[in-house]
Order: sequence, then C-alpha cells, then structure tokens
Amino acid sequence: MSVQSQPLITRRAILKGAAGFHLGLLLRAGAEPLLLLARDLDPASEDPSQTPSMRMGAWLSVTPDGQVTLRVHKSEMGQGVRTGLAMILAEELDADWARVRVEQAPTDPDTYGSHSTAGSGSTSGNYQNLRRIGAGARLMFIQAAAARWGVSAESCVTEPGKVVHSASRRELGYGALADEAGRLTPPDAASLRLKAPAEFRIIGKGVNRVDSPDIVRGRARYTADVRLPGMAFAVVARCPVIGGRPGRYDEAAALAVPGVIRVLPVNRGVAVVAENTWAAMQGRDKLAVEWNLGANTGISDDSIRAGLRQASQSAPELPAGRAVSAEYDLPFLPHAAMEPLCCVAAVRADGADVWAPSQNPGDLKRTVATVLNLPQSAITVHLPLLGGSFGRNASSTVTEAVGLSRNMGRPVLLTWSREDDLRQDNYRPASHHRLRAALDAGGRPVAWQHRGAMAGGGAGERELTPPYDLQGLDLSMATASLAVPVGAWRSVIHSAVVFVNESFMDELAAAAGQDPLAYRRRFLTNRRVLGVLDRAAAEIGWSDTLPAGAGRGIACAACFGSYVATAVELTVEGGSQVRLRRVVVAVDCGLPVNPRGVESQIQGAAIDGLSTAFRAAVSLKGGGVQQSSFHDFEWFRLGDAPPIEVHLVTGNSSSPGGVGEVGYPTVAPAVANAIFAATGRRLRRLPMTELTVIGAAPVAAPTLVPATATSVPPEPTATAAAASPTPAVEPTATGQPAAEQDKLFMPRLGGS
Amino acid sequence: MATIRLNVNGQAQSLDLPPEMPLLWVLRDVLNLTGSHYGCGVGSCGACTVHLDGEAVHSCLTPLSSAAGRTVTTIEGLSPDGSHPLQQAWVATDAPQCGFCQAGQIMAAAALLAANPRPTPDQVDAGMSANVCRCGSYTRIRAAIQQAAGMALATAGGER
Ligand code: FES
Ligand code: FES
Repeated sequence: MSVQSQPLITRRAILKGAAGFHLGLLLRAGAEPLLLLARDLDPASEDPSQTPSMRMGAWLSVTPDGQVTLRVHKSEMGQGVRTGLAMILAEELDADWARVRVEQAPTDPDTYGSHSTAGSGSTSGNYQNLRRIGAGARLMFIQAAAARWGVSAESCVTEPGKVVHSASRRELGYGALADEAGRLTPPDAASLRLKAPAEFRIIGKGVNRVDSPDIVRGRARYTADVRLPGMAFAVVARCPVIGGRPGRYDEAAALAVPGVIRVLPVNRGVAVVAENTWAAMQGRDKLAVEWNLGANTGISDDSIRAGLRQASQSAPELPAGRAVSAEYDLPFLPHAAMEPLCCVAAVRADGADVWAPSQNPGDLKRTVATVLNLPQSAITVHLPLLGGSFGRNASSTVTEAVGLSRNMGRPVLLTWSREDDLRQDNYRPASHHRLRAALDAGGRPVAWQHRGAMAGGGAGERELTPPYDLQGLDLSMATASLAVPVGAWRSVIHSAVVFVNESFMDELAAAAGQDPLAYRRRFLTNRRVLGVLDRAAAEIGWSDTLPAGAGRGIACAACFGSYVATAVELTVEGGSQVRLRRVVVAVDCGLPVNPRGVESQIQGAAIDGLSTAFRAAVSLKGGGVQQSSFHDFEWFRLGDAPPIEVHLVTGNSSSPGGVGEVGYPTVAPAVANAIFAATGRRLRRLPMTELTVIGAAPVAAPTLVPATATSVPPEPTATAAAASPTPAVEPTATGQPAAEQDKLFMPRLGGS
Repeated sequence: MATIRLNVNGQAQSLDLPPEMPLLWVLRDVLNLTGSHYGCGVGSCGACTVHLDGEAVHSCLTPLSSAAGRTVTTIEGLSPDGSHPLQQAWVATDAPQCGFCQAGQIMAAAALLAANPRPTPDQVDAGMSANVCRCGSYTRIRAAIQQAAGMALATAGGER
C-alpha cells in the first residue's frame, strides 16, 4: 500500500466573503478550491479520474462563539476515524479540543474525494491534506488578528483556540476572528508551515473518542435507528442455499398477519413490508416459500476442501537439503458485524435519500442513481455510524431497499436478520496452502515454496512473501472457482497468508532445532519488523521459565504500512483445554495519531484473531451456511478474553501507518505456535475446534428472559426455521433451564 | 387485543399491540426508543438488553405481555444526563468501538453492579456473559466496570 503520496497543490485559491456571519471560513459558492488533489490518496481508490477539490470551508467552520466544527469524510465503524481525522485538522488549526464538534461530511466525492473507507488508509492517506487545510485556516486567523492589531502576522502565534500577539500579550479567540478570517484570501499552500512534531498538542497525545458520549446514552444513530414519517419496515425471506431463488409462496398467509402491508419479490427473495419489523418477520415466516435451490446444493466443507486442493498447482522438485512440508487450511469467515446489514431508502419521483452502513457511500450514490435512472445529484446518501463492518459491502441491501421504497411510495427500513447476515455474506475466502522448504546443514532455508488456492481469487507473489530475507522463494496461489461469494475481510489476504507463513517459519525453526525467536531474528533484516518482534518478546518475557503445560508463541508481519508482532502465552490442560494467559502485541504504526485509539484497534483485532483461531467460522452443508446466530457462530465473550497488552514502538516514521487491520494477522499463528510449544502438537487448520478455551466465565452463555414471563418467547426468525435452534428454551450446558440459570448471573435489583 | 400498560423510562405507556410482540420491537418501532439494538433476535448477543423491574433481560425474547404493569428501563432512561457511573466510565475508558453492542453491555453491567456493587473479576465475567462485542472491546469494558464500581462505592461512602 502506498501511503506516502503527497497532495499536488496546483493553484492558489481564492476564498472570499463568507456566506453569512455564523459561517466564518465557509467558502463562497463557486470559488476556486484551495487545494486540488491529483487523485484520491486512499490506497483503495478505484477511480483515478476523480479530481476532488478540497475546499477549506467544506472541512471546517468556526462560529463567533468559538465553536469549531470539523467534518470527516470517512465511515466510522468503530475504528475511531471520526476522532483521528478531526485530531489532525484540529492540531494544525490549533483548535481548543474542548470546543471541537465533529460532523459527518455529506457524501460528495467531488468535494471530499473518495469516501471509501478501506485498506486501513484513511489516516495515512489524508494526513498531509488535513494538516494543510488546518494550517491554512490557522494562518487566516493569524492574519485576521494581525490586521486588527496593526502588527505583522509573523509577530503572532496561536494557542489553542486563539491568536496571541507575543510582544503585547494581546489575544483574540478564533470565534471573535471568524468573520474576518473567513473573508481573507486563503494562503498559498506552498507558504504554509506545518507544525513540527514537537509542537503537537493533540496528535500523539490521545483524546477520548468523540462518539462515546452519544453511544453510552443510546443517542448515537445507526442506520436502523433512522425514523422517518410514514416509514415502513421490511425483511426478506432468502434461500438457505447459495444462489437459490424463490418459487411459490403463500402471500395471503403473510398478508393475514396484522401489520403486514405488502409482499413483494426482490432479486433473490421475497420481501414482506409491514408497520413494524416484528410484523414483517412474522409475515415472512408465514410465506412458506418453496425454493428453487439451484445448482449449489452439493457444496459442503468437504467439497470446498477438495475444490481448493484440486485448484492448487504443484511445485517443482526441492533442491537438496532437509525437506520440510506442511499443509494449512483456512475457512470462510463472515463479517458478522454487530449491526446486521440494513438500509433506509426514501425514494421520490425526482430523487432519493438513502441511509446505509457503507464503507463506500460515494459508490452507493452511483449505484442508487443507476438503479433509479436518476442523476447522482438527485441522490443523497447519508452516512450514520456503522455498527462494525470489517470489510462488508452494503450495496445489495441498498438496491433492495431502494426498490421496495419505490414500490411502496414511502420510506422503507430494510433489516437483514442475523441469519441473513451470517448466511448471505461475501465471506473471507477459504484457502488451502501447501508449503515446502529445504534447509541447509545450518538450518537456513535454501528453498521456500508456497502453492495453494483461494476461493474466488488468488494471491500475488508480493502478498505471499514472508518478511524475512530468504532465498529460493517460489510463491503462487491459484483461484478456485467455488460458488460461495467472497469479499474483503479485515486484513484481507494477510488474514490467511500470515497464519501460513508464520506457522511454517515456526516449523522450520523446530526442524532446525532452533528457538523460534532466534530463528526468526536470524533472517530478519527489516529493522521495523525486528523492532516489534524484539519488543513483543521482551514484554512477554520470552526466555522466562514457564510452568508445566505452558507455552509461548510469537509471530510477526508487515502490512498496511505498519509492523506488528504478537506473542501469546497459554497453557494446555488435559490435552485440549486452553487457558490463555497473556497476549502481548507490539505495533509500529509510524506516528500514532491517537495512541488510545491504536490500542483499542489492536485489542479488538486480537479478539478477532483469538475468536477465529479457536472457534468462529462458517461451515457449509447442502449449499448453505450452517451457522445462524451468535450461539453457533461463537465469538469470544468477556470471560474468554485474556489480558491483551499493546505496546507502541514509535520514532521510526513521522507519518502514520495503517492501524485498523494490522492487529489481526499475527494472532492466530502466535496461538498455533504457542500450542506447539506447549504440547508439541502442530495445528494447521483454522479454527482449531479440537481445542476449547477455558476461562473464568461459564462455558454457556445465558439467555435472559424475564423470570415471570407468561408467554413462550417467540421462535427465532430464520427463514430456514428447521435449522434454527431455539436457545431460549433449550437447557444450557450446565443442565439448568436458561430462565433459571440466568438468576445465577443476574440477580434482581435490590435483591438481598 | 387488550391494552397493555407499562412504564418505560418513567413514562406511563398504554399500548394496543399483540401481547406476544417482543419488547425490543415495541421499543424500537413503536416508541422510537432506538438505543436498544437488534443484533440477533434470539437471545444470543445481548445487544437488546434492557431492565425489567431492574433485572437485565433480552428484550428480543421478552413478550410485551410479560412487561405489563412493570417498569422497563432502556439505555435512554438509565440516567437523565449520561451521569450513571457506568456511562461516565465507558466514556473515560473509551470502551466503545463501533458502539452498537454497548447499550446492551452497559445495561447488563448496570444490573450486575446494582445487585453486586463489588463484583470479583469472575463475577464480572459471568455477569457479562450474555453479551457479545463483535469489535472485541472487552479489555476496556472490564476496566470501565471496575472504574464504575469504584466510583459508585466512593459516592455511596463505600457502604454495601
Ligand atoms: S437481539 Fe436480543 S439477544 Fe441479540
Ligand atoms: S463496540 Fe462494536 S460490537 Fe461492541
């Protein structure tokens, strides 16, 4: 990923006459842009023909009361981008952080450039631009103050939220200067002096997430929380088999459910539109759709594994030496964001408003315009907070919702059920990997071969290359055409390849009879990888004595412009019970804009890594995904989570690297390597379902139903009801009915 | 269908709705209290957790009829101004990532602390085990609960 591109500043801008008293620093309509980007800087940008302008007023405004509003053009999905990008703007503006408010920028790629939030590139790709915009505005405040005082701009400095004339100690707040500053000609970008890192007051210091106060009060708005006058609520019955289509269904039965308004076919399913979501779900369950299952009913875990092996090519003979070989298998992974996919569409004859949890709202705007055959200017895409995302794509939901709203002539909120979300995803591709190496007498690999196949797309040599200085690399991954839809998933190709490479590196160390850390260090010349590896090893106490049954594993990687090493310490009891003792992650992400945010992302990615290492994945049978909800797609819960320490290695770069994804890839191999260290057993297939994680928490998750419930809880709402368990009424693992067991966990308020 | 009366966040409500309608959808789609989230609808995630007479329940599995005559508290009603010790601690520790699960996490933690102001780490693990955070914010949820427990005890003069 290229992260070092600089914006191309081509023109001096003309910024005149703020359009109104309260909107100082707002660009006059039609004026020339301040900064012009040659192209979007995001690594994920697909459309190089875009030449977005960066108008200062689009990014920030200051009102006379000193309130600073900063706009962020990327999707907030928990990675803290609204906080981080605002910190960058505020830093160079020298804003008083306590007076900063953050707003989501309108979806307007012509003004903001690409809104695509992907590839861990939001911060690295916008760092310089946002600094320039902030610095330009700051200079205008200085100029406005200098003019008022009749002194030179050079004799003035800024302190948070104000301009200070050093000699006379006079000062004026930004609010008092906003109107005058907004009327000045913006500075030539070449004349801007950006702060030296030593001058930073906000960047690198860490601030609290700007969205938390709303989140903890239930005021944060996600897509499904949008309420519009006359809004209807829809769900869709979808075929349990991939690619299946609806045949006959009982429309009358669905319409007979109180609250159901219409039944409408959509692309691959049948939608029920109602006055509330529950009525729509009830109606959907009455449809009794007869599915045309299509050609994919033969797909199963076995057929996938066979297909991947078949697609894998063979490698040439290994040179002489000690041969080591191993095969690794990785499963399909769903995104399973906490917020199931959803969309609100309000379509009118002449335009539409759409709300969706999208990582690429600019793209959605084009999609909606195409679907409705309207100009893009008639489409407004709103971007609420995303309830997680991890790479999922929201466009299919949007297309369905737009169609439903057009048909209904009223706004529609389409909710995917959790079952839909798990079973109709674009999955992280399953893959098969065959690794072979030949070691010389000293244990050095003289050949390293990687062959394999990945569902829906292969991988290039660069992506398969381990971070070591090795000779004789021979790397290729073929594409296996399996019908299972695939898509980007947190850390994309690295999610698979780092597990494979770092497991295999450990196997080579074992074959060479060398310590896994020392063996890695022998072949590492990348200073930054070495730096994180050494830090993780030091923090976990790599050479400290371990209790019986315990083991430590380590793994490292370079991706998304950052460097990471994870060390895991665990014990294995009774052959299969794993107790996670510690997870230590060292990260070098260059300049950490918000260190607290970096820590949070790495901790979260570690939970992803542990969940998917031990138990979370989807399995397929009869052409469909078997898991339906969080009782069988078993994500880690609080009691499973070990202490996770994050250590930042800084000082190696003055620009930020990617953070959202880098924490994931090294976790599973560090776990596998630790299991090997503890038991001598090498696990090469994820998830490692032969192991159980034990912790302090009860193994079974309680289901909380009211102690005096008078009715039976509703049936789960899955389309394929037969496959959906009913956790509410099933006894739990401890043999107690859930309703009784929950008292153990949740005593009543005011109870003795 | 008979009118069902209940109290939601201090307000009396009379609802002419099917008695079997899950409380979650009553809150979200009828009363427009959208802070409690739909994450699964089958009691597997905890995103919908609310209090029924102070007890944490999955509102997606709680029929409206079983809330009749009772008091429902949602995240919107946990405190008038976000000042509940857990809300403060959640902000101070930056516990939320995407935030979608956090209403449920906070409501579960609030019921836990109300019943047991000084939970051991194991009791916290157990009390929070009905809730999933897909973003993996557990390290900070733990820290926030500890911080809030301390805060609440300090305010109450440390008494049980
Ligand atoms: S929505 Fe109620 S437990 Fe998931
Ligand atoms: S913060 Fe995203 S699911 Fe918990």
